[in-house]
Amino acid sequence: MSSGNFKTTYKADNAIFQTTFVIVWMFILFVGILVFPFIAGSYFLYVMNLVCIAVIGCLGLNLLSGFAGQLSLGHGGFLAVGGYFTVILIAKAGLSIWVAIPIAGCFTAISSLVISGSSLRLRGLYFTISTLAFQFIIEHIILHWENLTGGPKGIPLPSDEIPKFLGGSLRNKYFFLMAFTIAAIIFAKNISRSKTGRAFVAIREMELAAKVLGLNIAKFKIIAFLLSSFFAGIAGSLYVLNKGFIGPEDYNLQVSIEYIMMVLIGGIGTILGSIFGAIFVVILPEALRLVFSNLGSTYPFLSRVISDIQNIILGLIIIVFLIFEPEGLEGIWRRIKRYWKNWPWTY
Amino acid sequence: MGQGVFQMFIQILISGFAVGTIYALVAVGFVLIYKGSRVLNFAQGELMLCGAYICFSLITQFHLNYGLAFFLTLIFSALLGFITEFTILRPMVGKPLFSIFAITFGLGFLLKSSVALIWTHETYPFPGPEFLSSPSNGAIYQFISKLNITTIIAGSILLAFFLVFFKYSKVGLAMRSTANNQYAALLMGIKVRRIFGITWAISYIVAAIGGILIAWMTALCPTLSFIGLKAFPIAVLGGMESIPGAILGGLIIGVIENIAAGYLDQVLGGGIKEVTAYVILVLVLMVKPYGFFGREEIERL
Repeated sequence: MSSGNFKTTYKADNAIFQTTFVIVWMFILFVGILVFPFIAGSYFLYVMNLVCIAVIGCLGLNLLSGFAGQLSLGHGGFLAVGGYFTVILIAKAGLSIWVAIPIAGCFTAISSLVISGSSLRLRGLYFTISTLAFQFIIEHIILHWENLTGGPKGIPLPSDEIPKFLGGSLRNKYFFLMAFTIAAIIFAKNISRSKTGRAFVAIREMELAAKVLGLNIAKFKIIAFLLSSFFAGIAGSLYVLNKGFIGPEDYNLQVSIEYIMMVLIGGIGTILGSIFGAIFVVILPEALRLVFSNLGSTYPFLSRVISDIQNIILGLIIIVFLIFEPEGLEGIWRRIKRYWKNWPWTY
Repeated sequence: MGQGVFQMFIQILISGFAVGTIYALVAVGFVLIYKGSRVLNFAQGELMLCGAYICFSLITQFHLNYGLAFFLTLIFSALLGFITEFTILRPMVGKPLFSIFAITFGLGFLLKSSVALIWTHETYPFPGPEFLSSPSNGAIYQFISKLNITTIIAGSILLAFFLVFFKYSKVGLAMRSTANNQYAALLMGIKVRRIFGITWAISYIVAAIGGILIAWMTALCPTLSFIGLKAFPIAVLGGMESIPGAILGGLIIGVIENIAAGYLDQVLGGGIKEVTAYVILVLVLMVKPYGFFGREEIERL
C-alpha cells in the first residue's frame, strides 16, 4: 500500500481534486459557506465580506508577484482604477452593475498596459520601483482631477442605481461577493494549472532559462500584468459596491503593502496561500481591535495608542514570518497535512 | 516685474537646493545599503525619523547642547543600525530578494509606530541653534533664508565627508570591495559580516542627519517618513549603485520639485510637488533604464 499520494500520469498530477478525500472536504466547506451567514452575527458577516474582496485582490497580486515573480507596489492603484471606474460608470453613465463590473475589470487591465509598456524593459527591483511611481501618480490623479473623481471628498454610489438585493442585508451582499470570490478562485486555480501558469513560474525562477526554453517572456509578463490588474479591478469594483462610497483614502500605499503582506504571509505562488493570507491580514486588525477595545475599558490610556500597537504587531508579524516561516501559512498547512497523513508513523 | 520674478526664481532655486541636500543624504543611505547588500530599503524614511526624534529628545528633555546632542544621536543611530542588521537582516542572508525587500516593510512599520508610540503623533517645532531662530536676522538679502543656506552648507560638508570616507578610509575601501564582490572580499580577509553591520550603521547615521535637517526646516512629526520614499526615484536617477549619482539625483529632484511647485501649481492645481519625483522616475526609466551613473547589466545568450 502506498503511503502518501503518488501520481503516475500528467493528468492526475494536474487534476483540481487530487484525491477523493479533497472532494469530500470541498463539499463540507461549500456547505459551511452556505450555512455561515445564517449562524454568524452581522459583525462576522461584515468581516467575511471584506475577506471575500481581499481574496480576489490577493489572487491577482499573487499571479503577478507570486507566480510570475514581479513584485508590484501598485496594487492599490489598480484597485483604485477599478473602483473609480465602476462608480463613474454607474453614477455618471447610468449603467447597471452587471455591465459596470466586467467593464471596470477590463478597463483596469487595459490601464495596466500603460505601465507594463515601460516596465517590460525593466527587471526585478527597477520594475518594483516603477510600480511605486504608478501608485503615487494614480493617487495624485484621484486627488486632483476633481470633476471626475470628486477629489478628497470622493463620490457616493447612487442608491437607486444599485439592485435592491445589495442595498439591504449583509447576507445578500455576502452571497453576491462569495459567488465572485469562488469564481475568482476557480479561475486563478485553472490559470495556475495551465501552460500560462507554468510559464509564469518559469519566468520567476530564472528568466534566462525560461527564454532558452522558448517562452516569449514579454508576452507572458504582459499576460501576468493583465490578469493581475483584472482581478484588482474586479476587487476594487466589489469593494465600492460593498461600501457604497468611494474615497481616496482606501487606495493609498498602505493598501498596496497590505496586499503584499497577504501574499507573503499566505504563501508565495500558491492559490491556497492567497486565501489564507487574505483571511489573516483582514482578520488580524479586527481581532486586535476587539482585544484592545476590551482592554481599553479597563486601561483607558490604551485606546489612544491602539493603531500604533496594531502597526507594531503587524510589522513584527511580517518580520517573524519572513525569517522563520518563508513559505507562509500555506507552508504550515502543508506540514500539518503531511504530519497527519502518515500518523502515527511520522519521522 | 523683472526684479520680482528673478527674486522668486532665486528663492525657489535655493530652497530647492536645501531640500535637495536632504534628499541626497537620504538617498546616499539608501544606495549604500543597496550597493553593499542588494537590499532595497523601504524603511529609509523611518530610519530618518528615529534619528530626528532621538536628537529632539536629547535637546528638549535632557537639555544637552546642540553639539553633544548631535554627537550622541549619531552614536545611538549607529547602534540601532548594528542592531537592525544583526536581528533582522542577518537571518535573511541567502533568501530571495523579494522577501528581503518585504522585510523592510516590516521594519518600517515597526520603527514608525514605535516612534509614534513613544513621542505621539503630535507635531513639534524642532529647536534650532540661537542665531537661526531669531526672526530679525532670519534672512540674508531679504529673500534668501538663512536656514536654507545653513542646511545646504551643513549637508554639503557632511556629504563631502562621506565621499572622502568611502574613497580613502580603510573601512570605506573594505565596503567598496564587499559591494563589488563579496566572495573576493571574504578571501582578502575582509570581515564581510562586520562590513554589513557598518553599512547599516552608516546608513542610519546619514539618515539621522537628513532627518534632523528636514525636521529643522519644517517640523517634527511621524509623517516625515514619507520623504524616505523619495529615495527610490533619486536612487534610480543616479543609477542605484553610485553615491555621487545619488547626491546629484537628490539635488536635481529637489530643485525640479520646487520649480514645479513654484510655477506649475497655478496651472495644474496644487500638489504637483509630491508627484514630480515619480513622473521624473517614469521618464528616466523609459529613456535610460539604468539611470545616469548605473552599470548596464548585459546578458548574453
